[in-house]
Order: sequence, then C-alpha cells, then structure tokens
Amino acid sequence: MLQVTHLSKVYHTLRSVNDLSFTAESQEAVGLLGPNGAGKSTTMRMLAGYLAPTSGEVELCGLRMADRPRDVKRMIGYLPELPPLYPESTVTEHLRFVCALKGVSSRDTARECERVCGLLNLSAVSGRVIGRLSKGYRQRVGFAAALIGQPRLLILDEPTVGLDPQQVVEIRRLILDLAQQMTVLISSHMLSEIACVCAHLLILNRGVLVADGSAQSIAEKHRDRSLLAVTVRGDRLLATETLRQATTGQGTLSVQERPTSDETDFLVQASAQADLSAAVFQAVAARRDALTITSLCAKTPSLEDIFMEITRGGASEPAQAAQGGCGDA
Amino acid sequence: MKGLFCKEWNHLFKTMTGYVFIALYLALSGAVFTLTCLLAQSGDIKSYFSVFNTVSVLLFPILTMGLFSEERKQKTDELLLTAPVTLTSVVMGKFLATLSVFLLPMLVTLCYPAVLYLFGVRALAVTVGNYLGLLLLASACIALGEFLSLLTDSQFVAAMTTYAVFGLLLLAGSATSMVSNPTLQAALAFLAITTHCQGFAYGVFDLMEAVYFLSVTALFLFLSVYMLERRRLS
Repeated sequence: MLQVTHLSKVYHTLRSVNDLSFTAESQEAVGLLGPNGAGKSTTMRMLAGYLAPTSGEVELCGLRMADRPRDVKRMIGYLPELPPLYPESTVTEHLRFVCALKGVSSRDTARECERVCGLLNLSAVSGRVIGRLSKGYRQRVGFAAALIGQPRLLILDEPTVGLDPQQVVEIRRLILDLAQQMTVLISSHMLSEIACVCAHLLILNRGVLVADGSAQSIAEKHRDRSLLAVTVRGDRLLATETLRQATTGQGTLSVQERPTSDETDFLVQASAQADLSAAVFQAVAARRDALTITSLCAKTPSLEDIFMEITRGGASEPAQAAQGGCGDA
Repeated sequence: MKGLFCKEWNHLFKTMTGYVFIALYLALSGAVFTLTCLLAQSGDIKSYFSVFNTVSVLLFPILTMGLFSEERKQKTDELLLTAPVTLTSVVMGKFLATLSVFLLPMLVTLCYPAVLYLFGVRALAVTVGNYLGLLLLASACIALGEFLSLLTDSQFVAAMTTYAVFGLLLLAGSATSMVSNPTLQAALAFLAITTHCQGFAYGVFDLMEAVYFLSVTALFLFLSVYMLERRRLS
C-alpha cells in the first residue's frame, strides 16, 4: 500500500531524515514516534508531497509520488501539526474549498461536507467563522478537511495536541474506526499516545529509523537488559559512591535526586542475565549506620523505557527516572 | 483552478482588502478625473490616464502583498501544496482572482468616458486603447507583486518590497531624460513600466508594448511557480 524506500532529506548541511525505508499495509494504523527534532514532521511532509525528498521514493498503491504527484496526492489526506485553516472562512466554506482542491464534483460537494462534518461532530458549528472557534474545533475542522475525498492514506501529524481529554478520546476512537477503512499514519513524541491506537510502530531518532514493528516485537527485541530501581535514605554522595562500587563493571547507574527529601532514587541497568539486587543490598547494608534502603525492585524494561533507551541522544531527551510500581523494602 | 479563484476572491473581500482597494481606487480615480477633465474643462481622457496610470501602480501592492506571504504565515500553503493541483494553477488562481478584483472598479470608471460622451467627446479608440493599456499594466504589476509576496512571510515586508520595486520602476521613467548614455537610457526606458502605455494612450494598438506587458506578466508568473517548486525542493 505505502512503500517508502531510502527516503532522505537534507537541509543545507543538516540531514533531517536519513535513509528511511518502511512499508504500511492498507487498513493499518502506523505510529511514527520520536523525540522532538527526530524528523517526524519532515517525513510526513515528504509523504504528503509538501516537500520533495533529497533522495528516495514514496510509492502509494503502486504509484510513485515523483512520477504522478497529482494522482498520489489525490489518495492522501494530510493534517499537519498546525491545521491549515483560513480564519476568515466559515467551516462549510473551508470544507467546500478543500472539496474543490481535491477534485470532488460540485454535485457531491454538499454530501461530502455533510459526511465529514458528521464524522467530526461539526454540524453544529458548520456556519461559524473558523477564527472564532476553539482550538479543539479548529483541530477537528482540519481533521475533517483531511478526510475529504475518502483518502487511502491519512497522515496525521500530532493530531491530539491541544485537545482536552474528552476530545482526545473521541479522536482516538475515530482514528481506530478510520484504520478499518484506510492506512493511517500518526506521528507523536508520546508513546502512550501512539501505543493505544497503532499496532505498527516506527521509531525515529535523529532522522534514522531505529525500530520498526509491533510494540511487542520491539519490546522483545530490546529486552536484553534488566533494570533495578533502588531508593536509598541517607547521604546522597555516600549512597551514590556505595552503589557505584557495587555495580562497577556489571551495570550502569543513573541517579535522580529528590529535592525535598533525604531519599535518592537510583536506576541500575545491567544485562538480562545479571542480578545485581543482592550485591546492591549487601553494599548498602554494610553502610547501615548511614544508609537505609527504602525500596528495591527488579524491573522488566517497559516499552516506555525501551523508547527512552533507543531514542537517547535525541533533541529533547526526557530525563530517565526509575518507574513506580515497586514495593517498599 | 476555479476553486482557488473563488477562495482567493472570497479571501480578498472577507479580509476587507478588496473593499479598501476598490474604495481607494474609486476615490483616487474620481479625484484625478475631476482635476484633469472636469475642473480643467478638458474632454481629453488621455490626461486622466497619464496621471492615473502612475497612481494605480501604487495601489496594486494592497492587493498583492498578502497573496503568498499570508499563506506562509498561517501555514495554509501546506493545504495548497499537498492538494492534487499543479503549482501553475495555484499561481494562476491567485493571479486571476486579483486581476478580476482590479477589474471591478475599472469597470465602474467607464462612467468617466460616458460623462465625456454626454459632453460630445467621442473618442472611442483612445478610450479603448487607454483601458487596454491600464489592463495590461495591471496584469504586469499584479504578477510582479505576486512574485514579491512569495519572498517573505510578512505582509508588511511584502508591501514595502513591492512599493520599493514599483517606485524604482516609476522613477526609471523620470530618470530617462537625466542620463546621456544611450544604452543606459534604453535600459531605463525599458524598465519604466508606465511609459509603455503611451502607445495605447493615443488609441493605437501597439503590439510591441502589448508583448512587453504580457512578457513581464508571464515572466513573473513563471518565476512564482519556479520559486514554489524550489522551496519544495530546498
């Protein structure tokens, strides 16, 4: 259905997308994940035909974008991160204009506008000026415009940004419904956002595809390490030194200080075979006059941990911290 | 292209740009007609056009400044450039809509030769020639303004750039008589956009001048398409 082959985009000297290849089947929701600056929006803009790739090909239903751009664009619905709307137009005027752009016949225009307004619950505001609508409604109008012409591929760049929780749930439900009829490609930098609607994940980091597959297959592939979350009460420097000595040569230690508490959280990463809990416990117990373990928990890396790990070094790497769910020691 | 034309037409009137342009056009053309024909008690429509052609050049940036700069600012260019339409139709849709907005007050000013006709002045060829000259001038100026609005995402910068370029084109006509070098004189005369209407002013269809205006129009429409494509590739 959608085939992307060796797609690259270079802005001057910056390689924004580097040799990206993947396929997406029809009636599939594909999530494009990555930290800010990973190249998600650039990728989507190339897929939508807004930007021409520096190299590589985009093929939809057997048609190459480079050879037949109009035919390919006719099969694509695209909602950028900021919905492209004319604030002085009414919702109906805007949707009619998009119908004209997409080649919907004037006879079918009214029916098509009604259909997308119905899908996005816009009927009540169809006569209102877009500039006076709330952000949530503007996002819906942009979404409705992307659905005009019944596209085969729907590209949604961070579609739920700025929506309230109720609207997020509605949009997610709609995406799931739409994925029964077409290929839906959604980008986000939040794994939780994507994981609940997409069976197929693509993870980008610095323009490179670092993972491609289902959430389960990605998790299995990267579960080659164990995590140990430890919380220690006492002097932070002493605790850090003690745990560093206990894990030297067997794992890596990351520290997260609690500013308002005398406790410090540690996360020890080691190979899947290594069990450092005994070594860590004994090392702290040896300093029991100054240090106390308040929590010690061995963890299996979650998909979130794996996402953090494989996108480490991205433009805005979130702080990695020990996750909850551990019992007190 | 019809959809793009209608959208642009709507945009020009919903944002008041069209009304402001028409109001200024009619006010200024009325003032020029009153001064050059009515108060001067002259039935020569040429004197009206010789002044108004220059004045009208300064009105076109009102229509053209936001054509592409506003699309870029509001990111609506993403809608146009990802739609199954050619870049040529995007550029042409905007150009034709803008030109048609210009035609509205121009048609209203047909009442001026009608007034002169009532006073017994019957100069059909001169009137038609002058209107044709103004139409060709408008088409070249709108194409140039459209291209200049592509270079920035600020309406203000687009307007200032267009005024600067149009100002230079108008000054080129005055500067022609100030230089002695024949090559430079010829170059300035070529650039002086309003002086190319002089043939039409006498009711003569000057093919060379018509080709000049149509070439300038085609050149800047082509450059607009080229700029859009280049931006897509960059």
